[in-house]
Amino acid sequence: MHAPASRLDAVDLSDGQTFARGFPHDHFVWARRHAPVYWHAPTQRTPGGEGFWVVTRHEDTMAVMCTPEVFSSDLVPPRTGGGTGIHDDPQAGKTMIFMDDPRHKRFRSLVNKGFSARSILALETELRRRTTALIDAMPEGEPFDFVDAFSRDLPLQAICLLLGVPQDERAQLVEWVDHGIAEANGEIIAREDFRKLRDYGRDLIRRKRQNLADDVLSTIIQARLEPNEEGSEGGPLTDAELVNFFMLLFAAGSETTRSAIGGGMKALMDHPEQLERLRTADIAETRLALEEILRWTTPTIYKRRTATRDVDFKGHQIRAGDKVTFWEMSANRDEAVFDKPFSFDTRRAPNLHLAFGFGTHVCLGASLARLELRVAFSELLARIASFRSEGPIEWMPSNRLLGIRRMPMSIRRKQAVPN
Amino acid sequence: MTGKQIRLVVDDERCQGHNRCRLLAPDLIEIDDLGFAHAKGDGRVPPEQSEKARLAVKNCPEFALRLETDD
Ligand code: HEM
Ligand code: SF4
Repeated sequence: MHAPASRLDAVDLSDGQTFARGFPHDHFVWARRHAPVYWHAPTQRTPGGEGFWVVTRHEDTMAVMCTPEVFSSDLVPPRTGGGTGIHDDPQAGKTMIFMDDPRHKRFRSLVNKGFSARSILALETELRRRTTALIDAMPEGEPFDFVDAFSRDLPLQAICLLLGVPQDERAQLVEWVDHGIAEANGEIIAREDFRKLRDYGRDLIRRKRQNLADDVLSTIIQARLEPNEEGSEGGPLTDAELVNFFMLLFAAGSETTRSAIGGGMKALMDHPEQLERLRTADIAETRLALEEILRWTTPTIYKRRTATRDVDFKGHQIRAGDKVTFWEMSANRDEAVFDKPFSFDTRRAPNLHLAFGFGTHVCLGASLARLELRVAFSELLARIASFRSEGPIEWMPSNRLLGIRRMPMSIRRKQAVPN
Repeated sequence: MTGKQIRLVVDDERCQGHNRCRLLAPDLIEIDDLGFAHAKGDGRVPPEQSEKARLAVKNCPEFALRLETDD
């Protein structure tokens, strides 16, 4: 049962540099087999000299996600922070992703009113317009950076659309978030840009209150719960809650979708026969391909929870207060669930990947992310005849997000069809 | 004793079109043009399909599927 500690200790999962050349798959293949749940000893980088549990298999990852009463996303006293990263986050308890039910449920049912898959689909036309503009602006026949030209902008535009950010204010917002991501050191958006964004969010919410419109933010501002519904005291969201939610959307929805679009483009360039097939795929086949892109890229690598009580988990004694991490990227390559997990296969079905999580915290933006991917790839394939990689990808040195920093490539457009 | 009639129900408010149920239980679920799931027919699950129905329920990330028993 016990794996040689040296073999496990050799890979420091708390060090962003471990991920600078991509995900350490070899380590996880070995761990899934020989030490599917293990204790990661404290390292120089683990806060407070504290180690953490590592859960590597698909089945066990599902089990952790489906038992939120034991594996909490919130602050578990006596800690002063908590959340879903190895580092305790002081925001724990203040934003839905770092809350447990029933508080989390109250929040989620309020924002759900603006996030139903149907309201998301209403954004398609405008998102397509934006996407084709970006594609038409790409240079032809010379190397360019796909992140810079395409995958950076689209997710931010989508969130702006969703929130009803006025057109002439988007560029500024995009710059803050993007600068924040580039500068972020372990955090998802750097502090200074985080502040600017928050001030903007406050102001936007104030303006929306005065001038309610047909967008998700207005819907959420107006949403209120009946007392007792989902066991809450009822009422609408407060301004502070709304601002935190505004921030969460940028933190959760920009870099993630960016990686999926960039990583998906790369995977298709590496598998040209699948790329060609996708050009003529029907909607069902296209949906399968997008799921495989999500599995393949798994933009968020791991999550952490905090044990609320002593628990026996797969033969290990986890104690109250222990940090427990599960690694979606490892779960998404689990040989027990995926046939040939290291092959990219756009026809894989069913595809039970965990890229969006599962259960109570399952990604709120999943429909938006899927819409972005569908629009991005359908327009890219419709307009571009050939795609070529022009050098290796540069990854972000981070263990939270499998972020692509730079992706050089070149394209040839399709001939315009004369009509 | 014959088993009670089981029905597969999709909660429209929760379904986000992950499409898993359709792949796990193709005889019980259909997907509409927008990608959302609906129980086929009146949702009745024949005994030989009950394992697939359970698998679909278990694997819906939104907990949007449930089994109901008619009495
Ligand atoms: C491909 C892109 C995306 C991926 C891979 C992704 C992944 C995830 C994952 C794994 C979770 C679960 C977190 C946990 O269990 O602790 C999550 C939650 C969340 N995501 Fe996404 N996400 C993506 C895009 C988006 C977008 C576009 C938005 C919104 C604009 C968004 C908003 C959220 C929110 C608000 C939550 C918290 C839900 C809750 O706590 O109930 N995500 N996401
Ligand atoms: S798996 Fe769940 S969310 Fe996905 S289509 Fe089926 S019912 Fe809807």
